[in-house]
Amino acid sequence: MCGPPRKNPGAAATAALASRLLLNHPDAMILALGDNAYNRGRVDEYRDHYTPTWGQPDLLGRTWCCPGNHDYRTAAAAAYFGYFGEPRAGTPQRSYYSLPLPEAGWHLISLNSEIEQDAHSPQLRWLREDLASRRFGPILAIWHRPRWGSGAHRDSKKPRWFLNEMYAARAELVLNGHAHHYERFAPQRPDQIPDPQGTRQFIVGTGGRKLAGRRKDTPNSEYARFDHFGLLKLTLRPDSYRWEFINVDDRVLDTGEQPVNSREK
Amino acid sequence: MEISLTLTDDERHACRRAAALLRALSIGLREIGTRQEADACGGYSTTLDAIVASGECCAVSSDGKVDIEQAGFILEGIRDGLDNADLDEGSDFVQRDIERLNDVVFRYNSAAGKAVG
Repeated sequence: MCGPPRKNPGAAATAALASRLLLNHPDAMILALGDNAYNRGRVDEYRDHYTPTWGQPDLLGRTWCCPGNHDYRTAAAAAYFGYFGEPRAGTPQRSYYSLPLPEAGWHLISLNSEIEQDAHSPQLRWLREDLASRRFGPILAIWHRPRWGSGAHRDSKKPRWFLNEMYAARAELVLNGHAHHYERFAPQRPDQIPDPQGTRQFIVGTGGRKLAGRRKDTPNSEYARFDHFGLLKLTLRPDSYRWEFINVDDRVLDTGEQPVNSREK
Repeated sequence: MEISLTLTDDERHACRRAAALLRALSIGLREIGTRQEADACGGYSTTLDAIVASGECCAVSSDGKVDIEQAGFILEGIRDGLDNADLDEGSDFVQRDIERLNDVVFRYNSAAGKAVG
């Protein structure tokens, strides 16, 4: 999201918006969805571009993240892991993690879409174990590369492995970046069949990198904006979640609320 | 960081086809006077050619991995252009090659993560 201003014109404004939102919600978490420092995720790019904006102490101390493809343009995404540290990013060897959100009663999972994620990969084995042993039912997962998308890069087949596990666990929410626009999908199965008890995917690639336009129409896409930098504000409760996409002028462009998926007791 | 990767037949064929497209694009870009972009595309095709030439097992550097990823992004544009022109079969063909290039990139990233441990 951060880099030279000519190609990353929205980073300072979205960071300022995040700071304003934190004033009213000091305990909120910030989830950074990868590609945090352009163009190669180098130490100097984090220092020169991320730190002055999203890396300010009020924001950085509340940030958890997942790596993007540009972070991996530095070998093993070393600068990314070094900048955020293990509790907030994992390590080059185990670049995925989870944590319970006791106050909300949700389970947060951060996955790495930039490494192997097939059925027999260590990451997918870990994911299955993590989902089976989680403390709270409702699930929010983040990874960089979206399975579905109407903007630049369009769909990516690989994350279907993640989505299969998410759907099997009745995960509520998946947040992705990679494409530089905002898009909300209806809850659906991994094969794009609408399902009210399915997983809802958001693309929130509006953190600062120059925006890109629509490339195609994607089934179950409920709302998309290609013309606003902004942030997705999620309010998680044990029995429901609420979303607001807020642009850098503090205008709410998309909002809604939904109960969590039903689960066997 | 140089990583030794074993490529599948599909991945090698995808690299070969991507190299051909990028070489043609580089020639066209040079003809219309965009030298920097022509050089970049030419560099990506050279990297892919080297991977194909090295056979089943190849050494990929960190810069070479970025070249493969960049090649995939340029193929996304070719795919979208073919799609816009209703040349669906070509678009699907290119899409499959993009996925194979991404497979190589993901495998490089996984191996690089293990190598620093």
